[in-house]
Amino acid sequence: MSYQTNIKKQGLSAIFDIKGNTSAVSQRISHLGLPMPTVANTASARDGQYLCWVGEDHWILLAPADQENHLLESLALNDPALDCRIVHVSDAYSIFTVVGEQADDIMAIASPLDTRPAKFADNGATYAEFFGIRGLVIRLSDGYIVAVERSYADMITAYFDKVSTGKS
Amino acid sequence: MTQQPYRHQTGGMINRSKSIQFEFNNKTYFGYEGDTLASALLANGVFLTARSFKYHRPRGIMGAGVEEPSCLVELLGEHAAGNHAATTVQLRDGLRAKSVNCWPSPNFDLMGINQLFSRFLPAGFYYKTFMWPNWHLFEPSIRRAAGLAAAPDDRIPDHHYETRYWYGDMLIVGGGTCGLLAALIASRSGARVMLVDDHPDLGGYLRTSQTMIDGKSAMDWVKAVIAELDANPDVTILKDATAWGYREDNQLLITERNPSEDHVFQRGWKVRASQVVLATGAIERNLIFANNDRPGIMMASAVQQYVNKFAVTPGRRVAIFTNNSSAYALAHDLHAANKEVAAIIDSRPLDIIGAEKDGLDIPVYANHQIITAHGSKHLSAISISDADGKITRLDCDLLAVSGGWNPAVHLFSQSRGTLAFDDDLASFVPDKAIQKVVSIGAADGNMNIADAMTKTTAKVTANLAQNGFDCPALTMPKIDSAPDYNLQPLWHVDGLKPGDKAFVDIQNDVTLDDIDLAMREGFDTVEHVKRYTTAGMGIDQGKTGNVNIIGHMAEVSNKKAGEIGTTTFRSPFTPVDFGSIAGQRNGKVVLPFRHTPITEWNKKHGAVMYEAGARWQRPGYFPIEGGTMQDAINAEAEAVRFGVGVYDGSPLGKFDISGRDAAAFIDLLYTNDFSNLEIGMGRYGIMLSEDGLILDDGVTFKLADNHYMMSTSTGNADFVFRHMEYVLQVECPDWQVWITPITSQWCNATICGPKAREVMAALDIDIDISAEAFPFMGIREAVVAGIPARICRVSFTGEVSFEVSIWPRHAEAMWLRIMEAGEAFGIVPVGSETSHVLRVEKGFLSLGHEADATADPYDLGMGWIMSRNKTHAIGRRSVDIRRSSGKPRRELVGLLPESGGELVPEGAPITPNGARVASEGFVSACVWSVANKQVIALGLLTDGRARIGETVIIRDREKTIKATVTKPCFYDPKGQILRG
Repeated sequence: MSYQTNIKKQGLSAIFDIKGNTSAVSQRISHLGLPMPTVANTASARDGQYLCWVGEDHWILLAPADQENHLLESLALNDPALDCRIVHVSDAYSIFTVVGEQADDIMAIASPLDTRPAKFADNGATYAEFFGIRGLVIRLSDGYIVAVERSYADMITAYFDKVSTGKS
Repeated sequence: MTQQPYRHQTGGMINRSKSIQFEFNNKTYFGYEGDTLASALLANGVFLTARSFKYHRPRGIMGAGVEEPSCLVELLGEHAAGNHAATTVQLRDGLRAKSVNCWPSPNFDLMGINQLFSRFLPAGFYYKTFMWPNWHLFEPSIRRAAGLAAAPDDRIPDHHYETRYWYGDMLIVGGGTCGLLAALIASRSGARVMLVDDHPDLGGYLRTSQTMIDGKSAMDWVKAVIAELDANPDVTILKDATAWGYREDNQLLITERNPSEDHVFQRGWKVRASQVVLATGAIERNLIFANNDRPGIMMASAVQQYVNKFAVTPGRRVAIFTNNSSAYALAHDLHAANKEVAAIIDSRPLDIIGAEKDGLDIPVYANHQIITAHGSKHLSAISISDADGKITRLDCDLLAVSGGWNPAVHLFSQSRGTLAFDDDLASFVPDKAIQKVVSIGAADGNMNIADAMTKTTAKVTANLAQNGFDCPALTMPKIDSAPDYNLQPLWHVDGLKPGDKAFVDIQNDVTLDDIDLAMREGFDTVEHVKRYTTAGMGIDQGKTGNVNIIGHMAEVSNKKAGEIGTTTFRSPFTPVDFGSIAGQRNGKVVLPFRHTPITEWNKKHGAVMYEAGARWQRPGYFPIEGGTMQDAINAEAEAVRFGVGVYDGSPLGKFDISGRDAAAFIDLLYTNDFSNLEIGMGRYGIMLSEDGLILDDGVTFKLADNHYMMSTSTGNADFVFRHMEYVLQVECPDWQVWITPITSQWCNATICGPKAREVMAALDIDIDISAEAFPFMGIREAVVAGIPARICRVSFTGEVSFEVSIWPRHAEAMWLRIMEAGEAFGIVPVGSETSHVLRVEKGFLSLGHEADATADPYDLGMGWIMSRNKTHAIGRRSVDIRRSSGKPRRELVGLLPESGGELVPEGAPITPNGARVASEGFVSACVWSVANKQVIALGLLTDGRARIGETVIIRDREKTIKATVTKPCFYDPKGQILRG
């Protein structure tokens, strides 16, 4: 690879789309011990879980795949009594990690997201255009997690190959 | 072998230890590393390099950079590209280039015959000449004759274009003296800075002058500044890169021609900076006299660059023609290089000419003008005239001209900043900025370097301070003062005669006569003159000529040049490869594509894949050995009608909708009622746009109280999502409804056909799937083949169908189990072509076919879906209003074409008696029906339902086809089969 990065398509993660008012969501996920992010377009993180505040009354919970069953049971997805809605979307996304010295170069090619630390800090998490489609971008200490709709995974892989090596 | 007869023995900024072989017009030459194609050609004595755009006059190299109006080349081979100025092409091993706009060569160009007829080809001649009988008769030949280089055919192997974004505090365009100084100040302030220059090396004017800074060569100062900038990680320097477009919100577009990464051919940058500093310098303008386009006539600043930077003097006997002081520096430099300068012809009176001539032992013809240049394919002499009209002929083979300097205001103007005419400079300078941009140096009209540096420091420091950056005190470099810039405008020489070829726009072959003609014909504004004459158009965009045109228009119309104004400056500032705009988006990823988990299986089984809406790649059909596409479709359709088939329905749009107002929301979206739907059941609905036309259709299931799953058409899923969000956020902001797209969370294998239930049973399903227990339009949770699934009983084929929805992680396993369980029943995979056949047989509507953005439900015979049980549904009122007019509508009908078994093209018009008149309808779909063993079609026909049984005529280009109008359903009209 010409850019000093390690780009990897990850396996399945546990992912949940959460909508509702903040207090209801906070109550619904309180057992996870994961604080609600206090600034829009940031994520709180704990034990491999990320709670990303991606829009008004909208969060994405991302967790390791081995926590999926526990989360499916404990989040009470279909309990209509609560003032929020949690939808299981683990399979709807494909996850890529872009880490390494030149991860920012790859991001600058893939996305118009302004990744300067002052604009997109270490806990940054947002939807952004990513190779022309919508992607969820989460900043890591050494790079980024990018979640795209699964149906586009092959296209994103092709893009990564192309921008990394110039070969299509 | 490497003889370069016009190269100096020493000097220049080229690497003489590295000889480079290149090819131009099929001949091999040599240059040096550091050369441009232009400098190498001149070093080799190649002066006739091009033919002009319209008259095909011989042309040579005139400039040394982006201002070059004359010598455009087509690059061949692995760096193939069209229409690059030879002055901006860096020489590299194996470079191949050829002239454009000439055949077979610039030396002998067959189209040169145009010169004989030039008096018949004035400005606007084609507007007047080719109007009868029809412009389109002549257009192809004119376009062929007028074209420049062709677009390259070949892709660049293993190289690709790249685009990327950059954000920062300050973008500085131009790496000359002031640009470097601005970068230095910004860098020391801690700002994130980008410095862009269109040359491979920084320094601007300092590269080619003998200026001293702090008592040393100016380039020593340049090198020290570059070293400091390079050491700062917050400074990005782009060399050989042109900022060519200035967009809203301080976004600039830049093309970097030779990025350091091997695999990147060119890189397009989209840069957004808090502050933009334009240090773009100034562009020398031409002087207008007869035959001022002859090869051997060049801009004085260009000659100075060739002499000092490339160690090339492209002539043996040089003359200089100027109206200002700057050209004298060339005379000094030529003198220093021991080159013969025959004369300086200066249009200014002697008393205005100042210190610039000091120290020169060269005849200066003050108050003289050149009347004409002599020579055909190369300059051989000039005729000059004094104020009394006395003419003298001087032999020379190189004429350096300088008509003054135009600040390069292109980007400033693109930013929508206004310009003002500066009488001292006789040119336009930046006036009021609209965006956060400042101009410095010559770009701001400061032609004295020392003054410009002082002003630059003040401006840049103030701008950084406004953005919160402190600038450490800077020790101002001391620069040798040059003579003050002094100019007397000369828009053209005196005494030009009608018919003289005195070019104001070299690239577009526009003469002073053309400007006069346009003004005589009433085109008296600068924008009209531009369009009528083409002056200032094309790749050149008037860099060397526009101000002369404006000055001349001012003379003719007795106005001030400032009152004439400029034309709109457009991007790109220089030619840009389309590839650097498209970036990595080419080849396999030129269009977005989406796959399902079954895509690989489909490909392995030979499916012909193509896009079937919303970028989803789907199998069109599965070819059969020795059979045609139609054979394959027929086989698949027969399997579904008489056995069983399965298709991958994953791309169908799906949304999870919940919340206490979910039912009311769905009622609002669809024309029919959903609030009375029972849990575990679904209902088909039609969604209208606000103007009462069909937006989408689909089935929505009730999963629980206040919880629904909506399915939409594949191609419209994103649009429907936007529509729903709009309705929710704008029309019903207080409603509690949550919408989550789940299209990719649920894959779907649809088993359909008379044997579908048997296959389901063979899959070991844990629920009762009888028609009684699991009726049509039902939805059930089940375990199928050990995999948790949602099963829906809907049908797009008209057969008994089970949509088995599973998480994608299980999709391939489920698919394989279905194929295994279905083998005993002859199950076959089905492509989208077959789905199309089956739905046409049933008369089911398809968006983009029958629902063509003009139809409402009544048109499609679906008035029953327009519920009156609720107060409102989006679009219903518009439908009612439109239909209350009672005007005839196009209605869905079936058609039985008498086409002898051939399919009728979709979209074919139906016209009264088949005449070439306004249509009364069209064919929306046409297939071979396996159920009816004949060609059937659907169509929209005016008052169609009242015309069932009639014969109508379909036009297929030159043919006409009779068709009988029928009801729009050819299979199981009562729907008993699919409910079975």
